[in-house]
Amino acid sequence: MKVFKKALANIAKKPITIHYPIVPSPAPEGFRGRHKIYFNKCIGCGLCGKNCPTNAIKLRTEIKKEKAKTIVYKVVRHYIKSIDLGKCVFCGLCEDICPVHAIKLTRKFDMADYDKNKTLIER
Amino acid sequence: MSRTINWARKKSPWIYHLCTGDCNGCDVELIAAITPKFDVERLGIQLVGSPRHADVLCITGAVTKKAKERFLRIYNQTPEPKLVVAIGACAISGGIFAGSEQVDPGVDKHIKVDVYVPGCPPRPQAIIDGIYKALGKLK
Repeated sequence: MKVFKKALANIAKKPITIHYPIVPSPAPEGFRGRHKIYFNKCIGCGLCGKNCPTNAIKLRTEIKKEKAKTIVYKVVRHYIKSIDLGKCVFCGLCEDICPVHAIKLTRKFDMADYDKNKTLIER
Repeated sequence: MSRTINWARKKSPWIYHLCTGDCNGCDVELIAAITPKFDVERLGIQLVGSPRHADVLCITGAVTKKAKERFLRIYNQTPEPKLVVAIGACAISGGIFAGSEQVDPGVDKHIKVDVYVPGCPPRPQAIIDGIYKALGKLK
């Protein structure tokens, strides 16, 4: 009897199918998708590259002169260069560790491409 | 005549799912795309059991040493013209398994790949999007 009731109720319901390519279906809140990098925010600590489990993040090393009161000294900085989406596993560690929030994972998921080099986020 | 055949192929691509050794995350997402929630059969996409019937090869996984031989054999069994879709980070570059001595990562190292679908694992919607982009290559 229980089954019969359920079956009758299901006749009145709409199908659950999502008509994806015709109707857009956005990813839920908190989804980890394509990165957005704010290159001008980067301070060159290099933590994202060191933390990346698949070495998807490439860093650009630069020697900079910095000043503290009257002393001028040299510092090695590792600025973010690119992220290879083909290697990335979207774990979100780079977003968590970045002290200045220069990397953000957006909700964009349709990243399919014909060319492997186009799955690279660069400046 | 060939234009008619291509039109028919575009309207109903038959896909074959080939796993070359991954964590089965991408496989679950590809199977999820066939369930009633996404129901790709309304678009004509159908999962077939033999590579000889397929138009599109959906490859998941870093290519392991054991799977490599069979993977190449299945690729050669698929009739021309075939489209290859590499799904997931493992299929594109090895992902988390890159650097291991048991894998020979990167599907495109062995065969010609038409569309790359990044993600670990990609959403079912992203996989449908990838297969659709691959069909755009047919003229």
